[in-house]
Amino acid sequence: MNVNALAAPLAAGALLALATGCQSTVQYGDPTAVQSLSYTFSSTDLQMYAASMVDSLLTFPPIVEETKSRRPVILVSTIKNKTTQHIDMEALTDTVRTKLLRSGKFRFIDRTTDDAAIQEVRTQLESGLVDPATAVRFGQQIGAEYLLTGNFAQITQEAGRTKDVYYKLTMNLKNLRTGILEWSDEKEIRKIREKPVVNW
Amino acid sequence: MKIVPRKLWILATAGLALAAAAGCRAPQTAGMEAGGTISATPEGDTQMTKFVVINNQKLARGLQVVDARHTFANDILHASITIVAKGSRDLQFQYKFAWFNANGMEVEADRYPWTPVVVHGFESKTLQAVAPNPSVREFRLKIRPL
Repeated sequence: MNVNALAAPLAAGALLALATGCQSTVQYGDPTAVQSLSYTFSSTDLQMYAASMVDSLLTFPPIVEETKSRRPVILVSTIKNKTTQHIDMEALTDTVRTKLLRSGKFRFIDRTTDDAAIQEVRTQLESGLVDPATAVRFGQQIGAEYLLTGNFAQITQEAGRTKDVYYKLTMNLKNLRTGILEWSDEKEIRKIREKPVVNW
Repeated sequence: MKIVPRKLWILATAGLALAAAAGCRAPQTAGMEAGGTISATPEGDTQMTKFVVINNQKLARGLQVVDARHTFANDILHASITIVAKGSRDLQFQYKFAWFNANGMEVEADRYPWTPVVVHGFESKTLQAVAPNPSVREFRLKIRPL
Protein backbone atom coordinates (compact mmCIF):
# COMPACT_ATOMS: atom_id res chain seq x y z
CA MET A 1 0.00 0.00 0.00
CA ASN A 2 1.25 3.46 -0.84
CA VAL A 3 2.25 5.25 2.39
CA ASN A 4 1.51 8.69 0.99
CA ALA A 5 -2.02 7.69 0.00
CA LEU A 6 -2.83 6.94 3.65
CA ALA A 7 -0.99 9.84 5.25
CA ALA A 8 -2.41 12.67 3.18
CA PRO A 9 -6.10 12.20 4.13
CA LEU A 10 -5.05 11.64 7.74
CA ALA A 11 -3.14 14.92 7.87
CA ALA A 12 -6.00 16.71 6.11
CA GLY A 13 -8.41 15.32 8.67
CA ALA A 14 -6.25 16.52 11.55
CA LEU A 15 -6.01 19.96 9.97
CA LEU A 16 -9.78 20.06 9.54
CA ALA A 17 -10.28 19.10 13.20
CA LEU A 18 -7.87 21.86 14.18
CA ALA A 19 -9.67 24.40 12.01
CA THR A 20 -13.20 23.52 13.10
CA GLY A 21 -12.27 23.02 16.75
CA CYS A 22 -10.65 26.42 17.10
CA GLN A 23 -12.73 28.55 14.78
CA SER A 24 -13.81 31.95 15.96
CA THR A 25 -16.89 31.70 18.18
CA VAL A 26 -18.75 34.06 20.49
CA GLN A 27 -19.89 32.88 23.89
CA TYR A 28 -20.99 34.47 27.12
CA GLY A 29 -18.23 34.80 29.71
CA ASP A 30 -18.13 35.43 33.43
CA PRO A 31 -18.28 39.25 33.89
CA THR A 32 -16.43 38.90 37.19
CA ALA A 33 -13.55 36.83 35.75
CA VAL A 34 -10.00 38.15 35.84
CA GLN A 35 -9.28 39.89 32.56
CA SER A 36 -5.65 40.61 31.81
CA LEU A 37 -5.36 40.87 28.04
CA SER A 38 -3.24 44.01 28.28
CA TYR A 39 -1.77 46.46 30.78
CA THR A 40 -4.53 49.03 30.18
CA PHE A 41 -7.38 49.68 32.62
CA SER A 42 -9.62 46.59 32.65
CA SER A 43 -12.99 45.48 33.98
CA THR A 44 -11.19 43.55 36.74
CA ASP A 45 -9.43 46.77 37.80
CA LEU A 46 -12.72 48.65 37.94
CA GLN A 47 -14.35 45.98 40.11
CA MET A 48 -11.30 45.68 42.38
CA TYR A 49 -11.05 49.44 42.94
CA ALA A 50 -14.76 49.78 43.68
CA ALA A 51 -14.84 46.79 46.07
CA SER A 52 -11.73 47.96 47.91
CA MET A 53 -12.97 51.54 48.37
CA VAL A 54 -16.43 50.48 49.51
CA ASP A 55 -15.00 47.93 51.99
CA SER A 56 -12.68 50.59 53.40
CA LEU A 57 -15.39 53.22 53.79
CA LEU A 58 -17.85 50.79 55.40
CA THR A 59 -15.36 49.68 58.06
CA PHE A 60 -13.61 52.97 58.89
CA PRO A 61 -14.41 53.41 62.63
CA PRO A 62 -15.59 57.07 62.60
CA ILE A 63 -17.83 56.32 59.59
CA VAL A 64 -19.16 53.19 61.35
CA GLU A 65 -20.04 55.43 64.30
CA GLU A 66 -21.66 58.03 62.03
CA THR A 67 -23.83 55.51 60.17
CA LYS A 68 -24.96 53.57 63.24
CA SER A 69 -28.27 55.35 63.72
CA ARG A 70 -28.78 57.29 60.49
CA ARG A 71 -28.00 57.25 56.78
CA PRO A 72 -25.91 60.30 55.83
CA VAL A 73 -26.54 61.96 52.46
CA ILE A 74 -23.59 61.94 50.05
CA LEU A 75 -22.98 63.68 46.75
CA VAL A 76 -20.54 61.81 44.52
CA SER A 77 -18.39 63.82 42.18
CA THR A 78 -16.96 61.97 39.16
CA ILE A 79 -13.48 60.61 39.87
CA LYS A 80 -10.80 62.60 38.02
CA ASN A 81 -8.85 60.70 35.38
CA LYS A 82 -5.19 61.71 35.54
CA THR A 83 -3.89 58.76 33.53
CA THR A 84 -2.78 58.81 29.91
CA GLN A 85 -5.67 56.57 28.93
CA HIS A 86 -9.23 57.39 28.00
CA ILE A 87 -11.26 55.77 30.76
CA ASP A 88 -14.96 56.15 31.49
CA MET A 89 -14.57 57.39 35.06
CA GLU A 90 -18.32 57.71 35.41
CA ALA A 91 -18.57 53.91 35.20
CA LEU A 92 -16.14 53.53 38.10
CA THR A 93 -17.90 56.29 40.07
CA ASP A 94 -21.28 54.65 39.45
CA THR A 95 -20.03 51.26 40.65
CA VAL A 96 -18.70 52.78 43.89
CA ARG A 97 -21.95 54.66 44.46
CA THR A 98 -24.14 51.63 43.72
CA LYS A 99 -22.22 49.43 46.14
CA LEU A 100 -22.39 52.06 48.89
CA LEU A 101 -26.08 52.62 48.31
CA ARG A 102 -26.84 48.89 48.42
CA SER A 103 -25.06 48.56 51.76
CA GLY A 104 -28.04 50.44 53.21
CA LYS A 105 -25.76 52.77 55.18
CA PHE A 106 -25.83 55.88 52.96
CA ARG A 107 -28.20 57.90 50.83
CA PHE A 108 -27.15 59.72 47.68
CA ILE A 109 -27.91 62.80 45.66
CA ASP A 110 -27.61 62.59 41.89
CA ARG A 111 -26.99 65.96 40.28
CA THR A 112 -26.78 64.56 36.74
CA THR A 113 -30.57 64.20 36.50
CA ASP A 114 -31.40 67.63 37.93
CA ASP A 115 -32.43 69.14 34.58
CA ALA A 116 -35.09 66.49 34.08
CA ALA A 117 -36.20 66.85 37.71
CA ILE A 118 -36.57 70.65 37.44
CA GLN A 119 -38.53 70.21 34.22
CA GLU A 120 -40.87 67.74 35.93
CA VAL A 121 -41.43 69.93 39.02
CA ARG A 122 -42.11 72.91 36.79
CA THR A 123 -44.64 70.88 34.79
CA GLN A 124 -46.35 69.76 38.00
CA LEU A 125 -46.62 73.33 39.27
CA GLU A 126 -47.39 75.24 36.08
CA SER A 127 -49.17 72.99 33.60
CA GLY A 128 -52.38 72.74 35.61
CA LEU A 129 -52.45 68.99 35.00
CA VAL A 130 -51.42 67.94 38.48
CA ASP A 131 -53.53 68.06 41.63
CA PRO A 132 -51.87 70.84 43.70
CA ALA A 133 -52.19 68.68 46.83
CA THR A 134 -49.85 66.05 45.36
CA ALA A 135 -47.59 68.37 43.33
CA VAL A 136 -43.95 68.54 44.40
CA ARG A 137 -42.76 72.03 45.28
CA PHE A 138 -39.36 73.59 44.83
CA GLY A 139 -37.08 73.86 47.82
CA GLN A 140 -37.90 70.56 49.52
CA GLN A 141 -34.90 68.45 48.58
CA ILE A 142 -32.38 67.39 51.19
CA GLY A 143 -28.91 68.88 50.94
CA ALA A 144 -25.82 66.67 50.80
CA GLU A 145 -23.74 66.43 53.99
CA TYR A 146 -20.72 64.81 52.41
CA LEU A 147 -18.89 65.05 49.11
CA LEU A 148 -17.14 61.93 47.77
CA THR A 149 -14.29 62.76 45.41
CA GLY A 150 -11.47 60.81 43.79
CA ASN A 151 -8.33 60.94 41.70
CA PHE A 152 -7.02 58.21 39.45
CA ALA A 153 -3.31 58.31 38.62
CA GLN A 154 -0.92 56.22 36.56
CA ILE A 155 2.86 55.83 36.53
CA THR A 156 4.37 53.94 33.61
CA GLN A 157 7.93 52.69 33.30
CA GLU A 158 9.31 50.88 30.32
CA ALA A 159 12.69 49.23 29.85
CA GLY A 160 13.52 46.82 27.06
CA ARG A 161 10.82 44.22 26.78
CA THR A 162 9.25 45.03 30.17
CA LYS A 163 6.50 47.56 30.77
CA ASP A 164 5.44 48.32 34.33
CA VAL A 165 2.19 50.21 34.84
CA TYR A 166 1.20 51.38 38.32
CA TYR A 167 -2.31 52.64 38.98
CA LYS A 168 -3.48 54.42 42.08
CA LEU A 169 -6.99 55.43 43.04
CA THR A 170 -7.39 57.88 45.91
CA MET A 171 -10.83 58.69 47.29
CA ASN A 172 -11.83 61.28 49.89
CA LEU A 173 -14.99 61.95 51.85
CA LYS A 174 -15.36 65.61 52.72
CA ASN A 175 -17.77 66.99 55.29
CA LEU A 176 -19.45 69.86 53.43
CA ARG A 177 -20.34 71.81 56.57
CA THR A 178 -16.94 71.73 58.25
CA GLY A 179 -14.72 71.15 55.22
CA ILE A 180 -12.95 68.34 57.06
CA LEU A 181 -11.90 65.17 55.24
CA GLU A 182 -13.66 62.45 57.22
CA TRP A 183 -12.19 59.51 55.30
CA SER A 184 -9.59 58.87 52.67
CA ASP A 185 -8.09 55.75 51.17
CA GLU A 186 -5.89 54.55 48.36
CA LYS A 187 -5.87 51.39 46.30
CA GLU A 188 -2.88 50.49 44.18
CA ILE A 189 -2.60 48.03 41.31
CA ARG A 190 0.58 47.10 39.48
CA LYS A 191 0.60 45.44 36.05
CA ILE A 192 3.73 44.13 34.41
CA ARG A 193 3.91 43.17 30.76
CA GLU A 194 6.82 41.06 29.48
CA LYS A 195 7.08 40.88 25.72
CA PRO A 196 8.28 37.50 24.44
CA VAL A 197 11.67 37.36 22.70
CA VAL A 198 9.96 36.25 19.51
CA ASN A 199 6.93 38.37 18.81
CA TRP A 200 4.61 38.66 15.82
CA MET B 1 9.45 11.66 -5.77
CA LYS B 2 10.83 10.58 -2.47
CA ILE B 3 8.39 8.71 -0.31
CA VAL B 4 8.10 10.16 3.21
CA PRO B 5 8.48 7.40 5.82
CA ARG B 6 5.19 6.25 7.32
CA LYS B 7 6.37 6.77 10.90
CA LEU B 8 7.02 10.45 10.23
CA TRP B 9 3.52 10.94 8.84
CA ILE B 10 1.89 9.30 11.85
CA LEU B 11 4.05 11.36 14.17
CA ALA B 12 3.10 14.59 12.39
CA THR B 13 -0.60 13.75 12.46
CA ALA B 14 -0.50 12.81 16.13
CA GLY B 15 1.33 16.04 16.90
CA LEU B 16 -1.27 18.11 15.07
CA ALA B 17 -4.13 16.37 16.85
CA LEU B 18 -2.40 16.92 20.20
CA ALA B 19 -1.90 20.62 19.43
CA ALA B 20 -5.55 20.92 18.48
CA ALA B 21 -6.64 19.23 21.67
CA ALA B 22 -4.34 21.31 23.87
CA GLY B 23 -5.21 24.59 22.17
CA CYS B 24 -8.94 24.16 22.54
CA ARG B 25 -9.14 22.48 25.91
CA ALA B 26 -11.02 24.42 28.58
CA PRO B 27 -8.67 25.63 31.36
CA GLN B 28 -8.64 24.07 34.84
CA THR B 29 -11.11 26.07 36.95
CA ALA B 30 -11.68 23.77 39.92
CA GLY B 31 -10.30 25.15 43.17
CA MET B 32 -11.00 25.40 46.87
CA GLU B 33 -13.73 26.94 49.00
CA ALA B 34 -13.41 28.04 52.59
CA GLY B 35 -15.82 29.95 54.73
CA GLY B 36 -17.90 30.26 57.82
CA THR B 37 -21.49 30.40 58.99
CA ILE B 38 -22.17 32.86 61.78
CA SER B 39 -24.84 32.13 64.35
CA ALA B 40 -25.87 33.82 67.57
CA THR B 41 -25.11 32.16 70.90
CA PRO B 42 -27.60 32.21 73.80
CA GLU B 43 -25.22 34.63 75.58
CA GLY B 44 -25.72 37.18 72.80
CA ASP B 45 -22.32 36.67 71.17
CA THR B 46 -21.70 35.27 67.72
CA GLN B 47 -19.96 32.01 66.85
CA MET B 48 -18.69 30.74 63.54
CA THR B 49 -18.76 27.26 62.04
CA LYS B 50 -15.83 26.99 59.63
CA PHE B 51 -15.48 24.78 56.59
CA VAL B 52 -13.01 24.05 53.80
CA VAL B 53 -13.85 22.19 50.57
CA ILE B 54 -11.03 21.07 48.28
CA ASN B 55 -11.82 20.33 44.65
CA ASN B 56 -8.32 20.72 43.27
CA GLN B 57 -5.63 18.59 44.90
CA LYS B 58 -2.83 20.28 42.98
CA LEU B 59 -3.86 23.70 44.30
CA ALA B 60 -4.34 22.30 47.82
CA ARG B 61 -0.79 20.91 47.76
CA GLY B 62 0.55 24.45 47.23
CA LEU B 63 -1.87 26.40 49.38
CA GLN B 64 -3.39 25.86 52.81
CA VAL B 65 -6.27 27.63 54.52
CA VAL B 66 -5.16 28.12 58.12
CA ASP B 67 -7.69 30.44 59.69
CA ALA B 68 -11.06 32.11 59.23
CA ARG B 69 -12.24 35.01 61.35
CA HIS B 70 -15.11 37.43 61.43
CA THR B 71 -16.14 40.66 63.05
CA PHE B 72 -19.10 42.98 62.72
CA ALA B 73 -18.67 46.66 61.86
CA ASN B 74 -22.01 48.40 62.25
CA ASP B 75 -23.98 45.14 61.71
CA ILE B 76 -22.03 44.45 58.52
CA LEU B 77 -19.99 41.24 58.47
CA HIS B 78 -16.26 41.63 57.94
CA ALA B 79 -14.73 38.30 56.92
CA SER B 80 -11.08 37.33 56.81
CA ILE B 81 -9.38 34.10 55.75
CA THR B 82 -5.67 33.40 56.20
CA ILE B 83 -3.86 31.23 53.69
CA VAL B 84 -0.26 29.99 53.66
CA ALA B 85 1.87 28.98 50.69
CA LYS B 86 3.35 25.51 51.20
CA GLY B 87 6.13 25.93 48.64
CA SER B 88 9.10 28.24 48.24
CA ARG B 89 8.04 29.71 44.91
CA ASP B 90 5.58 32.48 44.01
CA LEU B 91 2.05 31.20 43.69
CA GLN B 92 -0.52 33.03 41.57
CA PHE B 93 -4.22 32.42 41.98
CA GLN B 94 -7.51 34.26 42.09
CA TYR B 95 -10.15 34.53 44.77
CA LYS B 96 -13.63 35.85 45.27
CA PHE B 97 -16.05 36.13 48.17
CA ALA B 98 -19.67 35.06 48.06
CA TRP B 99 -22.22 36.09 50.70
CA PHE B 100 -25.32 34.38 52.07
CA ASN B 101 -28.03 35.48 54.47
CA ALA B 102 -29.36 33.58 57.50
CA ASN B 103 -31.65 31.50 55.26
CA GLY B 104 -28.75 30.48 53.03
CA MET B 105 -29.85 32.69 50.11
CA GLU B 106 -26.99 34.29 48.23
CA VAL B 107 -26.82 38.05 48.71
CA GLU B 108 -25.77 40.26 45.78
CA ALA B 109 -24.89 37.18 43.75
CA ASP B 110 -22.09 37.54 41.21
CA ARG B 111 -21.37 41.18 42.06
CA TYR B 112 -17.91 40.47 43.43
CA PRO B 113 -14.91 40.19 41.11
CA TRP B 114 -12.38 37.42 40.89
CA THR B 115 -9.29 39.10 42.30
CA PRO B 116 -5.82 38.01 41.23
CA VAL B 117 -3.26 37.63 44.02
CA VAL B 118 0.37 36.57 44.37
CA VAL B 119 1.67 34.73 47.45
CA HIS B 120 5.42 34.49 47.83
CA GLY B 121 7.23 31.39 49.08
CA PHE B 122 5.91 30.21 52.48
CA GLU B 123 4.17 33.55 52.91
CA SER B 124 0.90 33.83 54.79
CA LYS B 125 -1.70 36.19 53.46
CA THR B 126 -5.01 37.40 54.81
CA LEU B 127 -7.81 37.80 52.30
CA GLN B 128 -10.47 40.14 53.61
CA ALA B 129 -13.78 41.50 52.42
CA VAL B 130 -16.80 43.30 53.77
CA ALA B 131 -20.30 41.94 53.21
CA PRO B 132 -22.52 43.95 50.87
CA ASN B 133 -25.18 44.60 53.52
CA PRO B 134 -26.20 43.76 57.11
CA SER B 135 -28.26 40.67 56.19
CA VAL B 136 -25.17 38.49 55.55
CA ARG B 137 -24.57 35.60 57.99
CA GLU B 138 -22.40 33.27 55.90
CA PHE B 139 -19.40 33.83 53.69
CA ARG B 140 -17.50 31.64 51.28
CA LEU B 141 -14.09 32.34 49.84
CA LYS B 142 -13.53 30.73 46.48
CA ILE B 143 -9.97 30.14 45.30
CA ARG B 144 -8.97 28.86 41.88
CA PRO B 145 -5.85 28.81 39.71
CA LEU B 146 -5.23 31.96 37.66
